[in-house]
Amino acid sequence: MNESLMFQNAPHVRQSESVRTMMTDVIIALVPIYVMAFFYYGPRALLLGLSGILFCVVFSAIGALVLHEKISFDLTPAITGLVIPLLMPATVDYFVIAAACAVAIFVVKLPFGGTGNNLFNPAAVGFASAAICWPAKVFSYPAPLQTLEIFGENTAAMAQSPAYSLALGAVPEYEVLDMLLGSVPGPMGATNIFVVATCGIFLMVRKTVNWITPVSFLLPYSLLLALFPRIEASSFDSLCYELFSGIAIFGAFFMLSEPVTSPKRDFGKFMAGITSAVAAFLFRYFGELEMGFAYALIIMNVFSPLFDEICEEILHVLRRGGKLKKVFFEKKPKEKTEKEEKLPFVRVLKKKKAEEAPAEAVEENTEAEELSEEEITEEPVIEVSFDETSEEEISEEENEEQEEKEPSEDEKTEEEAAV
Amino acid sequence: MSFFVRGIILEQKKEPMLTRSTLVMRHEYEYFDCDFPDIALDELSREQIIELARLAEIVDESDGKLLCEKLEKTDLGEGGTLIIDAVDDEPYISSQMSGCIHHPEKVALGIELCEKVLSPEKTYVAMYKHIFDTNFSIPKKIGNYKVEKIGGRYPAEGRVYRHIPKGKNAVVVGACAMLHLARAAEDSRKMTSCFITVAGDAILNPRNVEVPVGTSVERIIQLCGLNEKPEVIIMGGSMTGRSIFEPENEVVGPTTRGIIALSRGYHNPSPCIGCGRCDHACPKALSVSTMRKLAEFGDFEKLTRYDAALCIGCGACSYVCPSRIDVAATIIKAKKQMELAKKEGTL
Amino acid sequence: MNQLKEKFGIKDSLAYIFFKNPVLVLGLVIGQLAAGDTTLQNGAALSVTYFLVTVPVLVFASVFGKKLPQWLRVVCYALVSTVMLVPAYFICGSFSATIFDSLGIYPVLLAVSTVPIVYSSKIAENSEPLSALMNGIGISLGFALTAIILGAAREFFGSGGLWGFKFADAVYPAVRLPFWGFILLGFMAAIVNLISEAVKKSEETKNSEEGNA
Repeated sequence: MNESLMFQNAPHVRQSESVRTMMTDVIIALVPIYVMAFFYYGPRALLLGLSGILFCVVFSAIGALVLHEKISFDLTPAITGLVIPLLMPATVDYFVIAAACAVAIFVVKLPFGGTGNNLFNPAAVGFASAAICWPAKVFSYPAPLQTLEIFGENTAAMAQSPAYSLALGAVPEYEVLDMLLGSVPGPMGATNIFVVATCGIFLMVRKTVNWITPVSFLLPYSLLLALFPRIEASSFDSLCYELFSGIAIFGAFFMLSEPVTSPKRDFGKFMAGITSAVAAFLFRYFGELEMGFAYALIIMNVFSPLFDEICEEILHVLRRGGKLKKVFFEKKPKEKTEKEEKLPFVRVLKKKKAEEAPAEAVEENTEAEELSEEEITEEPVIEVSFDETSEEEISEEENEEQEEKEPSEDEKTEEEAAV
Repeated sequence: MSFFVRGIILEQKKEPMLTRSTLVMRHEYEYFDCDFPDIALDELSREQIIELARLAEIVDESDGKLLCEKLEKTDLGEGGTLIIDAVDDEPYISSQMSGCIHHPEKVALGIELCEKVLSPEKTYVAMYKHIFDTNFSIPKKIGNYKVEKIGGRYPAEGRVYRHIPKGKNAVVVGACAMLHLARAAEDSRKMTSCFITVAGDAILNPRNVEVPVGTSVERIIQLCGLNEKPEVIIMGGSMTGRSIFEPENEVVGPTTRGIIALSRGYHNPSPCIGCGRCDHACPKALSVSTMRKLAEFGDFEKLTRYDAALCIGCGACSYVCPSRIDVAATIIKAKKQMELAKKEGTL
Repeated sequence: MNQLKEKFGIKDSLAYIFFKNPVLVLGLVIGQLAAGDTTLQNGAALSVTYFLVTVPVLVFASVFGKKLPQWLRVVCYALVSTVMLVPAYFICGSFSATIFDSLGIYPVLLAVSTVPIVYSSKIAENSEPLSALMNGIGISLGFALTAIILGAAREFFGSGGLWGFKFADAVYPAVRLPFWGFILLGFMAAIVNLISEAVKKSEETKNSEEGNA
C-alpha cells in the first residue's frame, strides 16, 4: 500500500474545469459559425477553416522541434487557426491563410515563449499583417448564397460590403435584418450576428469567457457609434449599420476576451474594454481601413499589464481599509517623498470607500483584522473587538493622520534649516 | 456583483459520511480519579469543571490548545459570546458536524458546563450551511443551544464572528472538545480518542470514525477498507492537509480532522494561460497570478509590495486554476522564505 | 605581431563586428534601422553615414577630449558628428540622388545616437587615438553588416528586388513596415546569440580538454 504514493500540494480537490475544457468550449462555439459559412459560401468555407487548423498545428509542431521541446497536444493553435479564416472573405487564397498563421505562430507566439506568454493576440496580428500585405484579397467580398469553387481561379460575383460603403459615407443598401442573419457580403464568420452573439453568450454562460470584457467593450462602442454617426441617417439606424458591419461583435467574444493577452483583474478588464472601444471607434471614424478592430485590439494588448498594475495600486489601498496610516508612514525613509506625493489620492479613495462601499466589503475587512489578531495573540483566548472599523473611527483616524503629518513636515523643514 | 463576492463555491461531498453513524474503534478507555466523584452535574463549581478538563486532558480540536487553560484564562467580560465551532467548510470533512449531530445531548451538556465557567451572555453553535449536494438539513438546535448557519463561499472560518454584538468579546471552542468534557463529567473518562473523517474515492466504506489518539493512518484505512489502490493519501483537510508517503508511520492526533485517500492525484500542470480566475477567487483580493510569477522569480521585494503577507493559505487559487498549477503552494513557500529573510535582515 | 594587435586593441575592435555587434548584441540604434532600413540602398547609405559620423568623433575625442572643458565636450562631439553628415550626403548622393530625402530623419538621428555622444565621452577620451580609430571602424563595420543584411532581406521579400532592380513580385510586402523591422532584428539577434553561445561552449570544452591533458 505504501509504494508509489504520490506527493501533492495542498488543495487536494480541484475544479473539474481545465484548460482543455475551456479550449473545447471555444471550438464548440466556433462550429456553428462555420456551419453558417458553409450555408452561405459552400464547402470552400469549411476547407479554409481546416487549412487554418492544419497550418497552425503544423507550424507550432515545427517550432517545438526547432526549440527542442516536447510536442504538446495543445488546443490553442487550433483555435488561432479557426479564428483567422473567419475574419477573411470566403474567396481568400489558401496561401494568405498560411501566411497569417505563420505570422501568428512564428512571430507572435513562439518568440515570446509559447502558450500563455504571448504579448499580442496571435489571430489579430496574423489577420492585420495579411490585411496590410494583400488588401485587395482580404477586403474584397463575394456575394453570399453562392457556392464557391474549392480550388483554382475565383470566378464568384463580388459585392460591396456594408463596411466599405459606410467608410465612403454612403448608406448601405441592405436591410438590418439581412445584416443580422448574415446574408450580406463581408468576412466569412463575422456577418452572422445572431449566430455569433448566441455562441458568445454560450461562452459567457459557461464562464469560459468572462462577461466583463465583451460587455464593457460593446456598450461604450455602441454608445460612441450612436453619438457620432458617419452617414446621414438616424442615430439608431447608423448604430445598427456600423455595429453589424465589421468584425467588432465577433472579435469582442472570440479575440478580445482571450485570457492570455487581456488583463487579469476585473477592474482591469473594464478598463481594457473601454480603451479598446475608444480605439476601435477612432480607427473606424478616422481610419481608412475597414477592420480597425484588429488594430484596436493590438493597442489594448500593449496596455493590459498597465491596467493590472493600476488595479493592484487601487486594491493595495482598499485592502488596508482603515489602516492606511500604518502602511504609508512606517516604511523606509527612502521612499518617504514618493509616499507623501501619493497621499492626497489615497485619502480621496478612502473617503469614497467609507461613504460608498457596500456593507459587505466593510464586513470583509473586519474579518481581515480579526484573522490577523487571531494569528498574533498567543493566549488561548480569541478576543474580538468590533469598534475599530466603524465609519466614525475611520474619520477619526484620518484626523490623526493629518495631525501626524504636520509635525513630520515641520521636522523636515527643521532638518532643511539645519542643513 | 463579482467585485465584492470573493472566495469559491465548493462541492462539499460530505455524504455519506455525515449521515452515517460514527464508527468507534474498539479500545480500552482510561479513567481518572477525582476528588469530587459524588457531586451532581448541576452543582459543579467553576474550579471543579476546569479541574475535570485538566484531569481528562482534553485538547480543543479547533486550535490544538488545552481546554483547561483556555477556560481558565478566558475572561469574556460583560456580554461576551461563546461560539461552538462546528464549521466544516472543507470538502469531505465532517468530523465536528457529525459529532454534534449524532451526540447532541452530550455536546449540549458540555456546552452547559462550559457556560458555567465562562458565563457568556449568548451561546451558539456555528455550522457551515452551504452543503448543496445532499438532502441533509442542519438541525436548528443542539440541545437548547441555537445553531447559527454560516453561509457564503469557501474560506468561511472567518465569518464565525458575524453574529457577535458589536464591541463585545467572543471565544471559540471546538464541538468535539465539548463532547469529551461531557464524557469526563459523566463517566470520569479521559480523552483518549479523536473524531476523524475517512473519505475519498478510494475508500470502500467512507464514514466518520472515533479512534484512539496515536493510531496509525494505515490502521484507520484498514478499518474502512480500500476499493482500489490510492495514489495520494492526505492527512488533514482536503484543502489544507498534507499528502503522506508512509501511512504506517503516520499517527493521528487530536487536531487531525480527516484522512482522505484519492485514487488519482493531479499530474502535469500545463502552462499558465493567464485567465485571472485565481485573482477572482482570492478571498483577500490579492493579485495572485502576478504574485505567483514573482514568487517563482524570487522577487521578494516586489512580493512585499503585492501584500504576500496577507495570504491566508486557503488554497482557493489552486482550486480554481484550470491549468492545475500549485499556485497556493508556490506563494506560501515564497512567503515563508520571505519571513526567514526578514528575520535575518536581508530583506 | 600579436603584441601589435594587443597594443592597438585590434582583437577587441574585431569583436564589434560579430560577437559584440552594436545593433544585435549591444542594442544600439535599433529604432533607426527598423524604421529606415527598408532597402539595400538605404542600408548602404545608413552604413556610410554611420561610418562617417562615428570614426572622426572617436578620434577627435581621444585627441582633443581631455583638453576641452567638461561642459563643452559633448557639444563639440555632437557638432563634429553633425558636420560629418555633409560629406555623407554627397557620398550617398553618388549612388542614388534621392536617397537622403527618402531616409528622412534617420541619418540625423544616427549622428546624435549613443556611440558618437556617450561612448566617445566615456571610453574614447581615455584611449589612444589609434585604438579609438580601430574601435570606431569595428563598430561601424558591425553596424554595416547588420544594416546591409537587414536591408537586403527586406528589399528582397518586401518588393522583390535588390539595389533598386526589380526581378520578381513582392512575396510579403509587410516586411517594409517598422514592426517587421523590429521582428527581423529580434530574429537576427537570436541567431547571433545562438552562434556565440555555441562558440563559447566549444571554447570551454577545448580549454577543459587542454587542462585535463
